Amino acid sequence: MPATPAAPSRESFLAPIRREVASSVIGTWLFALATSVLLVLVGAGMDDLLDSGGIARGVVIGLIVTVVVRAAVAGVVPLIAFGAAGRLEAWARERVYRHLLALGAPLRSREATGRLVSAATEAVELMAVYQATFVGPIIASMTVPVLVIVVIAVAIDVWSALWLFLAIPVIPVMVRAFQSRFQAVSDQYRDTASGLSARFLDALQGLPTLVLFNRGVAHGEVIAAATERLRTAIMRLLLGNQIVLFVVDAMFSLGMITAAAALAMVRLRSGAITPGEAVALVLLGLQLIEPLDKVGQFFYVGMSGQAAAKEVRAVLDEVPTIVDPADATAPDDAEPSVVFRDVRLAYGDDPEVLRGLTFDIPAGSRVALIGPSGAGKTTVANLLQRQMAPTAGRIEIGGHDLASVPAAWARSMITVVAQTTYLFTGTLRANLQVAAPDADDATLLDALTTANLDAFVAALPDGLDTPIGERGLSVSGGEAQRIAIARAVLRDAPIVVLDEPTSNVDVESEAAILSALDRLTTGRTVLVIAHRLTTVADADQIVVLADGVVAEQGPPADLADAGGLYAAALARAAGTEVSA
Amino acid sequence: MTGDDVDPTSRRDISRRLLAFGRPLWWALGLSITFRVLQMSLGIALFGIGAWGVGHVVAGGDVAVGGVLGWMVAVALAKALLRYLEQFSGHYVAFRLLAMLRNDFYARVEPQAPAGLSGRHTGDLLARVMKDIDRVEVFYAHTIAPATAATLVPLLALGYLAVWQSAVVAAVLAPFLVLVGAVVPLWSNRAASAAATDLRMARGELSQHLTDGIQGIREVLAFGHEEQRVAELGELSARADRANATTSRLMALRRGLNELFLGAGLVVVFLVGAAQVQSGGLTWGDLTVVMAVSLLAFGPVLGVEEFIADLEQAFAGARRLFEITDAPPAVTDPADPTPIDGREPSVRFRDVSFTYPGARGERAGPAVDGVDLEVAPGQRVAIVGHSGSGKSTLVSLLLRVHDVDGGAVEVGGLDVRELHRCDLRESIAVVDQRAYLFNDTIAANLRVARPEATPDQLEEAARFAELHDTIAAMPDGYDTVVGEMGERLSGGQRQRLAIARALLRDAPILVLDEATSNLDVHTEARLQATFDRLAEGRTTVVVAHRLSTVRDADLIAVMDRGRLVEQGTHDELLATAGHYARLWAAHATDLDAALAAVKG
Repeated sequence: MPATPAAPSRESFLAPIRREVASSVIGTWLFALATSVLLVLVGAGMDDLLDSGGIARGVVIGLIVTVVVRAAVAGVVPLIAFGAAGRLEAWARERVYRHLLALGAPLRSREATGRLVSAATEAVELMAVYQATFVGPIIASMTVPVLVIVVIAVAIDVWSALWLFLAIPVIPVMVRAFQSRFQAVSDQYRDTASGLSARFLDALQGLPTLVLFNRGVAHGEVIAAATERLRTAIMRLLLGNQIVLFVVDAMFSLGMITAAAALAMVRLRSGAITPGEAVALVLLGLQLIEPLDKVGQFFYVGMSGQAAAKEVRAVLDEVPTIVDPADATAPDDAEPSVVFRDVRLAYGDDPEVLRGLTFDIPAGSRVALIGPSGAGKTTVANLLQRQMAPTAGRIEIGGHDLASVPAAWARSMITVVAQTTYLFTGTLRANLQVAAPDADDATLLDALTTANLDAFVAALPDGLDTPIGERGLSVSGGEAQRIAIARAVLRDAPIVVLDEPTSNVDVESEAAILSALDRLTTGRTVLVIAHRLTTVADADQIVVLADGVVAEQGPPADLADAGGLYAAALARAAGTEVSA
Repeated sequence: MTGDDVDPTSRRDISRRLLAFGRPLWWALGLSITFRVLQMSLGIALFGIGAWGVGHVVAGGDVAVGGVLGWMVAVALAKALLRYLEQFSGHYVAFRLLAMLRNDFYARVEPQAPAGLSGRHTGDLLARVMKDIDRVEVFYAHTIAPATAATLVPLLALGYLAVWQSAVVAAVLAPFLVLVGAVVPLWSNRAASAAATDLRMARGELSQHLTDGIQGIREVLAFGHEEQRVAELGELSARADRANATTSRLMALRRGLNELFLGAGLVVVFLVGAAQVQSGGLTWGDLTVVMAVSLLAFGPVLGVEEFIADLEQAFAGARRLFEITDAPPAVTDPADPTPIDGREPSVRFRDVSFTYPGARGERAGPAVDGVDLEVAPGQRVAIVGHSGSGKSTLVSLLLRVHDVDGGAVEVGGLDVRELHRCDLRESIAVVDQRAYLFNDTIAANLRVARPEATPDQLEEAARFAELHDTIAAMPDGYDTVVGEMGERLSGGQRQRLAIARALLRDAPILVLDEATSNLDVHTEARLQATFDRLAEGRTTVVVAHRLSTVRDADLIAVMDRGRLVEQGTHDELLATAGHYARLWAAHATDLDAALAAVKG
């Protein structure tokens, strides 16, 4: 699959729904225009009433038409905006997931998984709703007063319009004032909330400890005191800060409503406008204060939408460690041999984990990689699967440098049975078809038999259709490992990597797994990452990894006599047994 | 209300329960509502006065424009002040409630620990205590107040119109306000609930699919399964989008209907008012005021649809909170506990059986089945076995994390169920796999074991645990903050701190529950001597994975699939060539450990 290049993540989230956002802006303006027309028509009706004692039929028809059109526009705007939000959500989710796939598997911790899932679900939803329903309509409604003033100039009185226009700068001033105050409060609130969140996390995680020491209740009081301190601090801040509300509210009431009423009376008295126009002018004041209603939403909703967009962006900005070269093509055929040449690896600025690792796995041979825990054995498996790239040196499969072929090709050459196996939510069949999407039931059952799972599947209530994974049947560690072997059989790759597949299972399961592994590995090139003497004895070669380099290497029998680490470990193990 | 999980009684119950909980703040909520109603009413009055001014200019022409404007300025300032007060009192309610809800959550979760917490991820609990409580808070500060105001303010406006202007006009306007404020929101909410359920389910599946795809990313990549996963995701997204399209259409319809009724109401009021003017029931000036008041009266009711959505969120949040806070504690103290003073520190498992609550009826079976084991005072007993054999379950039964299903656990000859849990915990010091360190100073972390310990006692304990020099070398010594999750301490130092805690605790019974299993072989060997000194003179129960740490125990008990299958000394058990001998053989062929050991 093509890796997502890093660059396009910079493109605006608005791009896929630009037309809908523009439509919703125009819709918001049209709605405001219809409202203005409605109020101007009320004014015209009032004039009729004063002049002729009745309302002209034309005005009544105009009112009815305007009411209907206005309602229709009011409905169309959310239809466009929320529809666009749904599409944007799906688009962004796929984007995030593809990017995660490109980022690969630098083995995710549970916290990281939670964060990534939240970025691809909640954050994507919030971001989409924000972009589609908020950016257009809310910003448009901030400019509604300008539109209304134009209506006043055209339909009522140019001079009144000009006077009211003087109050327009209040809007950006208000937005600025709100922004600075809101920022202060929301920063403090965020600090408070994250401080509180950290405190609760600490308390909940430590609760078993606290309870064992009879300190649970006392710690509750400590938390309550801290919560109260944060609360009083934020209330003090609000006490001073929210005065901006008073100022802004008064400014709008005076600058827009009172000014409109004053102009209506003064211009009416001087005969420049009709009584009906004066009424319309007073009522239009309502639309002039629309930004006041929206400014709260502007910040509260806007803030969470922006935060969500930032969260999504942060994921998309992570640069994948493995990117296929542009001209990479999958080799037509390659023999299943593996070469590690002077491979070095360091995470960031930490000391190197691998410091010049060199060894070969000839096609069809079986190589055991051993070493103390933490020596970097699993790292070797990850490098071979192209989950990460070495900092220096080269790794080849069938003579092809992994840096110059597609990662998917390297992965197709290898199948891995690791220490743990992930089972997806779904049926046993779906979990096996991960390895071979088109395999029929007979093939799947064959693979299960090879993996010593024939009795297991026969005992399942719905056979291959039994749900397993998180919401299904609970499967033991040993069974999960054998499902991994069945997958490997179905995958039928020429190179097999066994990364301590029995390290987490009990002795009984181990035997079943080992015999299944024997069948799986027959006729393939095998790299065994081993931690038991019993599993290395039948290897063609043993590679002993220590301190990031190959400490010694050779057939088991030779190494046992070589007087090195392996020989010493053998002697020690024998000694342990003897001392019994 | 229709819908899958929507039960009208539970909704009413939740409201009642939340209201009762907020009782100490009713006064503040009342103030906030009063300020809000006054503020909104003054907002209507502001337009009313303006319209009245125009009417008077038309009628007499002698009205002082300055006078009208003076009133408007006064009303505008009063409205702004009330708005400030409304917001402040609203925030007061909100932040007080958040604190109350969180403290209550902790107080209710604490008695459930540790049993009630083990099955739940802390992340999930944290989400409930932060996010769900935020949503529940909305119930008080952002729904009760606007809902009350949305009812009272239009009523005040209608009352004004009926009494001072025209009862007919008020009667004509009222149904439109009810349509916009109650009928449309309730109808659309009901109509949307099926689609909302679909959407929630689709999102749930999306989330599950993504979690799967991220946790299983190694498999997805290894098997080249990427496009398949993306396609499945696309299908689920399309399902969510279809549900979303339905809710969008309903929302569009609702907005459209609301504005239609608002417009229609206004036109009808205008026509009826005009007829009243013609018949002399109202003056022309009165009608201007009627129009202004009618237009403005729709403001508060148009907001109803927004807080109905918030209310749903608040109910959902409350349900999730109650799910945790209402769970009964796994164990409770007896009404009349027996004092433990003066009893000798013996431990006895008497034919103990236990099945984890979640595993009842599963194929896994009991975690512990008919275990009979005696630990004499001062004795050192090791419990060994594969993971999942029931070793750690025995420890949790001893600590009364759970109660046995059959048999009894005894300390000093007393059934632990007859003891007060505080007394029981005072008698036992535990060092487990990974000591939890609070994000606080070293001293505070040590004092968890003994709050009244003096600095000298802390130092003594740290010296005993061979941790004093490490602490002394830190920037602030014992006042050094260890950082989140104790990141600044190595695994070995962390377990030394646990030893120091256990020493401060000075309990007659010591439990070492896989105390070194997270450490590498070297560190384990270095710590062993300290553990041995700690165990001197104490009744000690050691649960161990690695056998090298237990061979000197007075008695080794071997667990296998919940049953105690063998007991004896190391030599005796090897001689019987049974389970223990097999475990020992596996231990002996562990290459990692052997290589680490020979590397030195």
